[in-house]
Amino acid sequence: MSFEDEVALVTGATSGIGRTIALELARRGATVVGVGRDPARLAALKAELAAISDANHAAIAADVASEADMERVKAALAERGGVEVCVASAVAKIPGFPPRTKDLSLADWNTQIDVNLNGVFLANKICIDMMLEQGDGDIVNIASSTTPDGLKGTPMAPAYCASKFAISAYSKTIAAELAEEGIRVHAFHPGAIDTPLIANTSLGMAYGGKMSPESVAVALVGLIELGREMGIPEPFFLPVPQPRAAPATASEDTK
Amino acid sequence: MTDLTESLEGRAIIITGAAGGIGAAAAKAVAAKGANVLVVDLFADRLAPVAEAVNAAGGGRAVAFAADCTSEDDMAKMAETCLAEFGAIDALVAAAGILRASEGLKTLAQMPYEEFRKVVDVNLTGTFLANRAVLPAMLSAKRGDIINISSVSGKHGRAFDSAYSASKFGVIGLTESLAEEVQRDGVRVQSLLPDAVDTGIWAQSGTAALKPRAMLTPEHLGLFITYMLELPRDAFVVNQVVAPIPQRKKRVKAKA
Repeated sequence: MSFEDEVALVTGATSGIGRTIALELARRGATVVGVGRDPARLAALKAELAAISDANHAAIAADVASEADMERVKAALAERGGVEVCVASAVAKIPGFPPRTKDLSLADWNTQIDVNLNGVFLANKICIDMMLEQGDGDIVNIASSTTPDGLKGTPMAPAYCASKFAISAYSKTIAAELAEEGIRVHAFHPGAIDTPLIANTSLGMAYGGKMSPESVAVALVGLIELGREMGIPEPFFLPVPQPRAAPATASEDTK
Repeated sequence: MTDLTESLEGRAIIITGAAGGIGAAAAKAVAAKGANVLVVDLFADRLAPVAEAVNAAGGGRAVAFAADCTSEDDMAKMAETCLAEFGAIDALVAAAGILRASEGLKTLAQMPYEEFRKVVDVNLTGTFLANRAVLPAMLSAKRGDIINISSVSGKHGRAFDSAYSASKFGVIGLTESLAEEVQRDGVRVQSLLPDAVDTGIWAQSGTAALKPRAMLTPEHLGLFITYMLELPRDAFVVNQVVAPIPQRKKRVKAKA
């Protein structure tokens, strides 16, 4: 198995693609340290990981935007001998219908930047020292193809788009910093995925389809593996559009 | 691998430009996963050993088909031959390509019309004809995969590469247009943009060629093409660049 004897940190591991990536890494042999917030979901994740392998998996309650919390996560990685793979997938979900930018509160803006962007920085930061020591490691930051045409603005998602553009730029910077040290940095840019985050938002509708979180995990973990042999800069993955539904009149006729 | 991953076992895959370089490596890589391959190239003498190597390896079966990718007739016969040999066309990897039509570097100002047209004929029109030839079978099966090999030169032009770069930009445009036309009907269309790969194509620049210091092997591209074909069917990768991994700094551990 390709990730045998490796430790993988996954933030945002209790739902969406964070969860499926954590499970896929475990299936391929990794010891997973998953980070989330909801105790019930963390317990469910722990049980799912335990069902895959008897490796020393962990599901830790932590705020990815809190340096103190992430220091606790770092200790959990150190206990397991280090970290080979860091997947920063945590993202803030703001409840309710997405507001127009003029109606977005500073508090909601800050929450999204704190979790989506600062959380990526902190997740990377707790891993980089150990990876430098090993002279090896994979960092995967989940950016986004914010539109089907790539990184472009989407109405009513200003903080989300700003944070994802920033992850893309930030990841290029640390990729250049760390390449010669044997650490590979990927900013992964997926299009619409069938997860709670984008349900009923404008982010999901433009693509004509959605990828399943399981598919995205298979694609991403395969990419990490291939990335150990070749450079795969800035991967963008989009959903294959689904066949158009039959015209409304057709379904009327069948009633 | 989970069961989401597409299995290539028993799939019928056409690969153009299969006598060498990326095409030959792709044929070997997918055949190792159990796919049957129709290996297609203009150069029959160099194509036969590739088919023999695949058949000797004990994975999928290979059949050699000599054809000119700029010939409508040849491309139509290529599709017919794949259907006759393997009963389906599950995938096409359009890898036939040339860097130059004559040896040596030429600026655009020095470029004879015939040389420009030759590069565009093989790289772009050849991709169009190969794609068009396989579409009827794929659309009627409501399933298929097309991978067109563009290049990093399909994103950025460079001095002395006007014809090559223009043709590879064209491959991306063709791929994106075709994707919008047929992806809803089950035919997944992707392009791949290799950076420097250690293939015979560099010889076309003659002694003037400065080969890059770090290059991928064709086998790297074979692995990546396999990955693209095996992707779960609800996802596709967009115009992906594949490049040599940056050289690692020589590490000297500090003594305690």
